[in-house]
Amino acid sequence: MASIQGKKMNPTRFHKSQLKFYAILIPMAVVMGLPIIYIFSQALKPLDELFIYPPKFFAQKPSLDNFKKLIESMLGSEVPIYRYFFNSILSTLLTVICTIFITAFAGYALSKKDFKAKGLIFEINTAALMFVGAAVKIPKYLVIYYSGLIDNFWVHIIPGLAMPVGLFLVKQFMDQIPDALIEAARIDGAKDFQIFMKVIMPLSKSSLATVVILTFQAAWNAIEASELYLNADNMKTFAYYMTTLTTTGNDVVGIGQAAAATLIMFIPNLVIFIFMQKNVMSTMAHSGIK
Amino acid sequence: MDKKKLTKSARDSIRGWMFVSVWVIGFLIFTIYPIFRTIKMSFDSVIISANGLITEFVGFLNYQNAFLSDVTFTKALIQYIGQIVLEVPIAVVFSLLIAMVLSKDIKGKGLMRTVFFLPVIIISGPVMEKFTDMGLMAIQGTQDSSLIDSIIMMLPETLGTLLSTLIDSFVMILWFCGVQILLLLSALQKMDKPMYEAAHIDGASAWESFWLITLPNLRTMIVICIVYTIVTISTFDTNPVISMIQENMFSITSGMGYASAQAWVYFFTLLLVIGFFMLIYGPKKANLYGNSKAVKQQMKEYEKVIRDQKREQRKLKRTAGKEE
Repeated sequence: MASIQGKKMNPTRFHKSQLKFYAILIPMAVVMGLPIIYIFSQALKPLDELFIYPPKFFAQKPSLDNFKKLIESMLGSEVPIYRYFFNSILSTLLTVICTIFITAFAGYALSKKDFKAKGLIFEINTAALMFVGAAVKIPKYLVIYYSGLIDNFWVHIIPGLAMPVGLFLVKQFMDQIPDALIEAARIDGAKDFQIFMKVIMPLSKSSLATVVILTFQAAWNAIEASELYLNADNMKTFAYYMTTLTTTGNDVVGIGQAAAATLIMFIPNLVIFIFMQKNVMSTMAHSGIK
Repeated sequence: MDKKKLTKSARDSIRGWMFVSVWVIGFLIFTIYPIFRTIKMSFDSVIISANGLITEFVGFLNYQNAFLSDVTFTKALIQYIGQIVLEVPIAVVFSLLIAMVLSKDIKGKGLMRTVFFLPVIIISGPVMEKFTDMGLMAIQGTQDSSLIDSIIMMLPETLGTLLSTLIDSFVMILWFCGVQILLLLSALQKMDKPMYEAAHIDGASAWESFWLITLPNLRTMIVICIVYTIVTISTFDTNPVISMIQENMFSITSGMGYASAQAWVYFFTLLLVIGFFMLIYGPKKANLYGNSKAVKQQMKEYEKVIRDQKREQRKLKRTAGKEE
């Protein structure tokens, strides 16, 4: 994928006629960007400033107090903090890798193979996108209970693997890959699996990058499994630990820690996004077009 | 069966199922089965006890309760419909505006795109909830304005609450636009530049060419954006109806059965809302050259000319063949 600069998307010079566009763009960008800056400034505020009324946007005396307290209470927790980190990283990593392959397999089949029920599968998938996720909590619990996943580390990973949004994006993107390429590969003697690994995967890299981001986000922030399906503390994730900090214990001190925790939870999302950003832009741009 | 005897299409379909099977199994177990389970539950009274779930068939009682005895639910539904009708046009118009500006040649476009897309990455339940709690999603500076308060007081109750939720969640609406902006942007960039030039030469103003060229051409994409916006707003965790369903699920008095019934009512309301928007601005057969009558007339004439030319060519070929 060529970079943004490579496509000459940005004009090289500034011109006066561009001013009127900035007049619209900059205020909008500021309005949309404010909350992100707020996360940072909130985390840096000392305790007394968090309670000032009316609230100030920027921290007057930025300090790292909140982080210090957060670390203190982390060190005081029963299960060592690195255990939560390890769980989070392992489960997120496994989820992301498995999801990419499963989604790409399914997307390839739905886009490039001809079989009955292919359209039906895709339509059910689209309808499932719209259903209220919260309403299926109890049936989902039953499924997980009967499949023996309760108190099993895999409960972090398995239920989230078949992701409707991911399939939707990947399938739409793969529709753009010309069939001629696949035929050419077949004539050269490539087997189905080779075609998949050597032609399809590299070409749909950008839509897979989007799936990576979405899955990463879902897995990294997931607290459902730790909350509902796991009893043992040493299998729970970092995200879950963060929410316990803010909901239990001393409320007044908790708010400062919560602000710091929000920032810590937010940063990995931002980093992943920055790394994958260019690819994402081009998937989203293709996903809706036939 | 001998593998060689299978036709190509049969082999293709077996391979297809092989590739898709893992996904389908996961999808059936963890998504479809739970959804169908809620259909059954919506006709039951479900009580969570120490020995597991106790279910008892009650027929349509849950649905009856939702509409006839639960005042808050119908009210929340009506408010939700109002919210969608109000917010979706704002979101779509805003996306269109930003997409059009971003499709022009300006410096720092790449950066701007990132800024407008970034929220999509951040909108995950917990962070967003915290924001709304802190009042961050409101238009800054309007929260305690007495003018707006008095306007809200003057309006009838439903309208008033609508307006105040709109103000409270204005930034959130803008945050929902990231994907839509990109979709529209890509459609805009595929548009024919010469068409605009031709319109310009014929004396059309920018305003006219927006209505006669840009909008008709974007129609399919705008429809996709509308559906996308409705679905995102409706399935978002902080949506009042969803939090109500969630509350009812674990409450002792109403329970899971009632919550399931509510979820299904909500799902069908959502489909109705999408249907309503499609009625107003549905997908018409996309016409590449706009919908105005004059343009259509012109197009027909062109097509006729092209047809005639082809016929001529064929004739020439035939005569040439005979001569040989």
